[in-house]
Amino acid sequence: MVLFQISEPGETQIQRQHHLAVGIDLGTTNSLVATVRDGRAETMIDAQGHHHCPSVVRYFADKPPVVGQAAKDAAYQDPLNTIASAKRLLGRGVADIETTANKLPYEFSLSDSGMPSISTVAGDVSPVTVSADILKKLLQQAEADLGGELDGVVITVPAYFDDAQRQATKDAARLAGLKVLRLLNEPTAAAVAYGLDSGSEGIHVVYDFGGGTFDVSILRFSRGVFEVMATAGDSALGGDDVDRVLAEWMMAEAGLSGEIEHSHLRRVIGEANRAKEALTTESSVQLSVDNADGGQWQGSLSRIDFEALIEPLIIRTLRPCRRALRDAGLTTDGIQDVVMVGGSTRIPRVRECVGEFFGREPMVDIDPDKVVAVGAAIQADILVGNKPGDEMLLLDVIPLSLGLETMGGLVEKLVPRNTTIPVVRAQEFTTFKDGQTAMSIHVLQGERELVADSRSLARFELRGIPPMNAGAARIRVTFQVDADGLLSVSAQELTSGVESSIEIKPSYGLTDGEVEKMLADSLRYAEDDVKKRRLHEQLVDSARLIEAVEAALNMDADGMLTNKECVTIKAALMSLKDKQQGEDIAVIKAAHDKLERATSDFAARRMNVHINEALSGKLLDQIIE
Amino acid sequence: MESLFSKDYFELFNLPAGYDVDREALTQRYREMQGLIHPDRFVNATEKERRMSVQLTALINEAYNVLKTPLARARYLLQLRGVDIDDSVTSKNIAFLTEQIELRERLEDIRHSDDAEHELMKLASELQKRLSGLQVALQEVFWEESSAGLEKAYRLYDEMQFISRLNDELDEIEDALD
Repeated sequence: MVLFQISEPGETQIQRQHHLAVGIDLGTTNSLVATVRDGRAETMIDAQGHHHCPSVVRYFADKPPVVGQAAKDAAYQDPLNTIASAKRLLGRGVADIETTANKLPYEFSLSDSGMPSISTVAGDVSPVTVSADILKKLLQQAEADLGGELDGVVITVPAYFDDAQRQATKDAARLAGLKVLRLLNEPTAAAVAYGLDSGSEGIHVVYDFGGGTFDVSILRFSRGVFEVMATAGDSALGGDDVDRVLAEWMMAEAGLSGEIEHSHLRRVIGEANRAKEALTTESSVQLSVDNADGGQWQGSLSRIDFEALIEPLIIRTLRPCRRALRDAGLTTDGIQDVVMVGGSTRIPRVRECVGEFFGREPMVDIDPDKVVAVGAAIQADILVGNKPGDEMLLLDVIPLSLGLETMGGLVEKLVPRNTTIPVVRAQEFTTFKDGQTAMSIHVLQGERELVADSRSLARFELRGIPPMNAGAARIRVTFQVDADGLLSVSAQELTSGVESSIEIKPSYGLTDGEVEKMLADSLRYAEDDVKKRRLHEQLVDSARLIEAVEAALNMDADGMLTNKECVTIKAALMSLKDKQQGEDIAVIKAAHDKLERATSDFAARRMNVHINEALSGKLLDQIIE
Repeated sequence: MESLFSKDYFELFNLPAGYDVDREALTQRYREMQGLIHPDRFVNATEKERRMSVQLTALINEAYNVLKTPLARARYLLQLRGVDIDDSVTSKNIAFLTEQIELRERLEDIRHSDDAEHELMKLASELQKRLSGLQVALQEVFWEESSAGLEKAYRLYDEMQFISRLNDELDEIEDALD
């Protein structure tokens, strides 16, 4: 609650305890967790001393899943139950499977919600479940290391993730029992890590070529404010594709057809991955692949030939770079430096191409695999309240335009790409037929003009419109995108006041009911654990509220509250504190909600007073200093 | 207590309502306000405050965007001065209508040109010059606080809107070239 500390700098400040917070880079290939310790952000290690946790989960019929290196090691022997690269399927639907998933060595089934699931011995698991299992592992690791339960996490997502993919990530976090402070865009996180390190003002490009996604962001950094000017990318392009191109080449050389067994394909891809890594430092590499008749194909690949093979992929990353520059209204001359992020930027040819494109040597000072997690940890530390008075601010954008379907299958854009978030935009529509009483609202994301070419996010209906002549009704549709980049949509008929609103749940995402069910399913393995976690979540939430309300009362009770209001709030506060001692989640939640309601007007009043005070210039001098 | 939502964008940014905007003051003010109300400052606040923070920040973002963008600023200023802007009415200025048709034709030619990139750059730079000229002209007429001045401003705004749209289409063609 920085607001209050700014407004009353001389007053006693509430003593606050140190909160435990981490940043998580939930990657396609590897995931990392980082935290700020003694003012330094660093990635955390697991019991074996590893910074990276392979984003691989192996499922069993009769015991909990295994996550990380142990799962990755089993990928060849148990390919169908060992899931890697689940991030590529997050928030994806049936149609995407045909383009992406048939390149992945799993067996798919379709759930009722239209979301693809992977068939394993543990039943069908969704990409959200797989991601949640990875998050749980990182959570346990972090809590063991920090010696306590976490107060909050920042999870990074590719900047080019659409609403469905972001929502799926948040669902995974919820399933894992994490308190998400913010979803943070990966390039922005990297910029934070670099910006705070070098303190350099100016315009920076972050080129983030990871295991499964590519992002480029252009940011302006000035006086502690990171302002994203433009972002572009490809959420299905990464090191995985490099491996696949290489694997396809090897298979062609070895005379293998496309139809080979899963475990065999896994081994070829594994060999391709090994070769790629070796070629970072070597000028050629020896390869061997089992061929169809039980023998072995052996060959070698030079770095030059490797570079020729993957050149098309690198060129695909330069297109978004051009577009981001254009959207930011810049040429490469205006760029101060280019920061390299993601494992795929270790490939020497990638560095060369990026260097040529931007006309300067790219920066690789911070380990490209760790920089995102480090930036996320810095932001988590600030958001959780460990650095009151810190002026750092991140102003991010939405990567893809948001719109609605109108007559003729066309998309009317309400929020163009690269608009700074949060954003609220409204537009009025009208009825097409006389006496029309319902209107179907189809929410879309993307840059194309036709509905058929855009990503469908959700459909809902506004009903109960009073019958009128065509064109007489006035329906206002409002889009709100919050600081996580998540969309909610509401629609209202203005002449009658009929209203309808939804939190966008992607067309093939999880409904709240499904998340609940998945939570219940996980009870199979650890009933106590889940219960404990949910109680903990509620306690953290309530402790946060208590802290906020006490700070507010301290600062503003005099003058802003009548005696009666003050008594009501204090009573609700005492009641919540009392219920916090117990273990009944429902009872604590009820007391929590009561305190929220009791302080609602007070909160609004304070916000107005403080902001107006600040805006009237009374306090600006202090803020600027 | 006066709500921020009832202020006009210029009041919100403590700037005089006019077409000339002090960009530096605008940006500085924007950053100050963001520093106070951005949702990142309210992660630990009550739900009500978090909601207000999102809405207020969205308001500030919108206002900043309008004030810093020449076309949106002109439109906003016209509306503020009571001009009813109707996008469905086409210009009555015959000379401009003729020019519109010519420019459209050039754009279509570029779509099918062998040397699209070069043609595109040429037209883009012409449009850019045109926009700068319109901005200067708008600056002058907005100083005239007469209804004739407003009339002129509306006409200039109309031209600016057309040229801007053309510019956007050029960007899209450029996108498609990649």
